[in-house]
Amino acid sequence: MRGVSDPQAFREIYETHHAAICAYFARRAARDEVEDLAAETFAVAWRKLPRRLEHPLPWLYAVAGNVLANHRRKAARRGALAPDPASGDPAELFGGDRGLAVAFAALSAREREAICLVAWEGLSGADAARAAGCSAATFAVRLSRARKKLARELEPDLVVVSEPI
Amino acid sequence: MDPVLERVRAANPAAADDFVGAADFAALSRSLAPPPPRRIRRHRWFSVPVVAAAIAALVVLPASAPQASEVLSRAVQAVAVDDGAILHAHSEYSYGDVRGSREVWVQGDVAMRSIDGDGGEEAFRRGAGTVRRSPGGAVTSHPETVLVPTEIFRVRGLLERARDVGLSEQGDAYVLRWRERSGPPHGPTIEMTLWVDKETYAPLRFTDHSWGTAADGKPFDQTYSEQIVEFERLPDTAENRKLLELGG
Repeated sequence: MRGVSDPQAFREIYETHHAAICAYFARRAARDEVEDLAAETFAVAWRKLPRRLEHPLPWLYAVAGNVLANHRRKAARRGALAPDPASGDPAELFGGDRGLAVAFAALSAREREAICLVAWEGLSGADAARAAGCSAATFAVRLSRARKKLARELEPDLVVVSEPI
Repeated sequence: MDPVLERVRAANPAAADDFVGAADFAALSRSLAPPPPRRIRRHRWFSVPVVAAAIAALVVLPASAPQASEVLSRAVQAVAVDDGAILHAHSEYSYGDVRGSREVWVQGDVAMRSIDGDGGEEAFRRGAGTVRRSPGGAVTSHPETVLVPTEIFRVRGLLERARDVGLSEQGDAYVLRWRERSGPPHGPTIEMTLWVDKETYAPLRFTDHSWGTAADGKPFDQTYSEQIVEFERLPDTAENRKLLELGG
């Protein structure tokens, strides 16, 4: 895959989406790591961003996801403690909504990410699927299951009637 | 309004607005600048342990590397087109003495277009067959001919039915290697190898290596190799669909 060849075009992409990518990492990693992770994401983008990508943000989120996964693997290898769903990791703090943090901890990593890409990054189903690296159909099923599971954890008697996306 | 997603939205721990103004393209550019050239000290010879260590470095994965199943899954997703997307690849291939380049656009099993380095072009659409244009410009129609995309585009099916996929690491690539089921008349050994980008999981290179004894009793050893120069996924838009048409 050839990277984007026009520095000006890349600069526009960087300046347009830098804040969104920083926010993505701020929701999932420690604040003091956000800038480095964002810089690593754009370094990858500089080398690998397809030349004719019309809508780069989902692609950037996909790269950010890989950068974050590598970062977490390295942290785990160093023996860093896994984030505490109810207290430690900013991704799990949920603005002080402890019930939500506890319920979220019951979801798998993929299910959490499906919910977050839609609720926090505000992506459409199709764009969230690109960011998650799967088909739109697969993502819709994953999100639906994640919502139902989260609803059950939040309110065991809640009946989920709507199916957005 | 979905109450579950609304509750998650309300608990969003960070907003993009928090980072407006934090972009520093000059700093990023400095970090992207290539390092100054180093003086390379040339070794005239290598000891056997040095060579062995270099070879081992190609095949041993660090403990932090993902599992084969994860790489496999992401490689399959990288070429999935369930949403009607169009895959485009520009590649260079070799097979024995034959070498060439081609550019291919594929939309599932619906449509495909291929341009060879010699200028020849083919376009296929399900239900309409294939239209060819020779390097000289002559256009012919072949309604019964179905074009089958190269392995890079079919790698999803290949990987999904593959068993015992081996994973190793080579520079910026993960290397997936597996054996294809063989059969009569001469049951060759068929080994497929796919290099995928460590960061995007897009295919970088593919080889189909087969060897054994041919039906006439003679040994053979053949390798088809395809090096991906560019690989991208295009959305299914009217403009991109034109790329699937002859001369598009």
